[in-house]
Amino acid sequence: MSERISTVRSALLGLTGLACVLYALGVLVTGQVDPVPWYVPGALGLFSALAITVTALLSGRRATEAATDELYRLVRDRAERQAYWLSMALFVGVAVAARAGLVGWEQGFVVLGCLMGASFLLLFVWHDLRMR
Amino acid sequence: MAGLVVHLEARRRAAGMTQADLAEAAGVSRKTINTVENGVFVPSTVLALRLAQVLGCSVHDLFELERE
Repeated sequence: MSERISTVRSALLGLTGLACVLYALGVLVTGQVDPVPWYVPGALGLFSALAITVTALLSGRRATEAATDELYRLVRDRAERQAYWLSMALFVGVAVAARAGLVGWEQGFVVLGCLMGASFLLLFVWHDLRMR
Repeated sequence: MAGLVVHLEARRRAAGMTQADLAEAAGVSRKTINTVENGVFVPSTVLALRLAQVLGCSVHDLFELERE
């Protein structure tokens, strides 16, 4: 049962992360701050959170505790640490690109928000898959 | 620092348990057992003690420091 929680969690977090990356790419390619309806990445994130919670509830307390054991915490903490520094680098990268006129400030702000979210989600999935 | 030698897989097999059985008994995921056996993940003291308890042996039977 804990395997099911882990699989659903990785699949949905990965999907949400990819949606954030695609949204950011859409902003860069089209130059519009909402290449698709603005609420799509957020709605997908909320759906993922809900689906993971429901899966955990259906799987029971013991399976949920096993799926959030110390290996999970190690993977989560590692992803958080790396995402923090990646986000710092993104701040610099986007600021430099906007200052140089490569991307507008509004677009840069949206890209930054999407990629900061995606960085943790995709790093978590990456480390989770490596630890299987 | 000396490396860690893991005997968990041998002990588990000797007890006639699968990774899933051991994971269930220890309250962790099968993935955790697999990564401990492969030396990818070093468990906490609490988990090491719990694994030893489940397998009815000492922590030293499961893990030892590599001899230099």
